[in-house]
Amino acid sequence: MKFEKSENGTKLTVRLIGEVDASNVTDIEETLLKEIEGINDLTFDLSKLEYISSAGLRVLLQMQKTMKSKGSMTIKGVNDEVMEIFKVTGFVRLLNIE
Amino acid sequence: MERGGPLSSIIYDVNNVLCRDNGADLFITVWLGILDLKTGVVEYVNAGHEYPVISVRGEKVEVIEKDNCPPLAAMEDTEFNTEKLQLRSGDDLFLYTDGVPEAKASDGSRFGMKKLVEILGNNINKSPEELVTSVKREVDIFQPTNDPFDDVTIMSVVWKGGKQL
Repeated sequence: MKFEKSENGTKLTVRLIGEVDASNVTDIEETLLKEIEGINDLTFDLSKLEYISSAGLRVLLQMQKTMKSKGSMTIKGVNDEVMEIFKVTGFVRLLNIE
Repeated sequence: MERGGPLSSIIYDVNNVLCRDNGADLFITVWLGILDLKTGVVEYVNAGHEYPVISVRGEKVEVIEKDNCPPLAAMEDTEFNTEKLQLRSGDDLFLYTDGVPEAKASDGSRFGMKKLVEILGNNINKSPEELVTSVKREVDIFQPTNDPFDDVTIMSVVWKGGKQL
């Protein structure tokens, strides 16, 4: 898993690359919680994400709840494989997916 | 979305209870269903759980891909819709947790739905016990570790028709 970010003032875009699962999700969660301080517009670019487990979905949900009180969160670039995970888990109804 | 029948009401209430004091933002997938033994109708709510699979009268395998609801504890006041499916005599309703399709081999590949459907298709005339054993065995072979990636729970039910009731 690789993690890239680009920040522009209060706007942050995070790109998740590879697979997010229980083996790496703790690092991602800790990093994101620091990165979103002072951010009111968070975008996840998932175009290079190959797989996300329920542990990773929990972090997206956590970010969504955190951002709800301070701004907005958008998911973009979702490929077919990850979209299928969002559909099966019902996350398509929870997340703001472009 | 309007609040539906009894099943969706139960899930609605349980979800709101679970949403309280959920500081860790955990969530739970649930498949809750009732099989009418007289008619073979299964009424169910799928809250973020894997799709049910039906082995139709020992002829073919169908994955029932309907719109799933979010999991429980994810969001307060979520509305859950109830779905229906009709079993015919001899149909097998097969349910499983995500530890089956998401089982991971040593090369990083995943078990996947395609392999699950293939195994069910190869065991189409087997009993529920044999189906469960066959799938579990294949998952264990695929994921040869004592530390599975996720829990593996499997259930298989054959409806033998309402005539003997």
